[in-house]
Amino acid sequence: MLTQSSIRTWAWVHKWSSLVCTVFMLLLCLTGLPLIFHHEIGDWLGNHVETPQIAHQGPLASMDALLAAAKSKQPGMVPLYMYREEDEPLQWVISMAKTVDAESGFRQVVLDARTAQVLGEPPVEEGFMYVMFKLHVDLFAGLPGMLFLGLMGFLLVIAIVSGVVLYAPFMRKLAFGEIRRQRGKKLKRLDIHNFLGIVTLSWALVVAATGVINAWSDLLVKYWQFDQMSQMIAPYKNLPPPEKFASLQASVQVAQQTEPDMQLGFIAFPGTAYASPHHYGIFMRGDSPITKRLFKPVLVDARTATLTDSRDLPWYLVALLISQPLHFGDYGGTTLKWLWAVLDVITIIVLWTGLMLWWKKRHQYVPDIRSRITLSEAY
Amino acid sequence: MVTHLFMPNKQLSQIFFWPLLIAVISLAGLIFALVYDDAREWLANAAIGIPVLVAIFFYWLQPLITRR
Repeated sequence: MLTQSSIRTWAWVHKWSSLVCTVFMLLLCLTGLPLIFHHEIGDWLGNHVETPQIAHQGPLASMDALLAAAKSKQPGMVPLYMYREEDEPLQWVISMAKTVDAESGFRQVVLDARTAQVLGEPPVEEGFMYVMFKLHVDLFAGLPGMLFLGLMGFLLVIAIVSGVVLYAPFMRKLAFGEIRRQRGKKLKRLDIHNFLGIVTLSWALVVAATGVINAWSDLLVKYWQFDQMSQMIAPYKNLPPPEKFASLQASVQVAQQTEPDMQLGFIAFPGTAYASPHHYGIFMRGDSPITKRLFKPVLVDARTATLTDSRDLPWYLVALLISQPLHFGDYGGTTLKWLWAVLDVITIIVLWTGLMLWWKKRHQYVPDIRSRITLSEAY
Repeated sequence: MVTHLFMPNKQLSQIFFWPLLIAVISLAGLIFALVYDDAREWLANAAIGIPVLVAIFFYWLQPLITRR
């Protein structure tokens, strides 16, 4: 068992690590709740673009036709990324902006993969879900906002660990799950905080830790560019960016021949963060539940449609890609999403009861920690 | 009256037995659901749901049972 002085130290750590991050964690839990169901809410708000039921035989539309259709829909804009949603395999989405390094003014063009017809242009950067997303990811403050929330998440991890340590002295006389309802609000609140906090331990720790990793995602990608991309594109260092681009379809075929056992995940157009000014970044993925989340970049020369290089992702990007589903809860169907939502609400209760425990007794002088602990009371 | 003052102190292993069991099962569930896409995923979801069931039991059902 802990000594009195180490209990006091852990209590100090728990109090301050949680006090600093609680308001932000409440915000993250509240904004995270609709984000769990962003697909369903998008459908409900009418932002989901339907794939038309048509009789189609023969090959799918060529990548060049898809790209041309998007460009003619958004003249003057350049393509950034081309990807598809898991539940809409017959659609391709091309995101576009005025320049490849734009930070706002994005557009999305949804295309029919069979016919290269434009199916819709769902709004980006507006609406309720966009506000929720930005508040959750970076507080509308870009990279500094992301890193700040990452730091708050790290404090939450410390609060969770110190909370587990403090669970022991408070539970010496109590049975597991015991909530003292008859002895005043304060003890009831303490017991609820301890009980709900300890049963949701694994989930909270996993979601907090993976959230911290995600907060570093932009920097990890930047480091990957510096660490790996710069080596892969070293021969192109002093060349001017291409003015004419080779066929996208031919480039995708090159990538497919390079990785015959994988399938096309997404395409980063020249100049974006996942490509180089001279290359299409064609990201291939596997088929299994795990490998479909792990991409292998194939860099194809955008002028000649020939292979430049292809390497496995480094461990830090593998860690990032594996941590994402564990944070989003989007990897086990609707059941898992509901579980995520309920656990999120329980976490809100833990945060709230913790805040109230502190608030109600902030003016009280606690003279004798020993007797408080013996009584299993909050202090 | 503070009756539990006269209870013997619990050992660390007694205090953490149930919390640790729940933590291990739900963590295994979180990872299994990531690795498997078949029927085992249901098992994993059930494991992730255990903290929720335990919380519901002690928070809502237990007082109803003891009142009876």
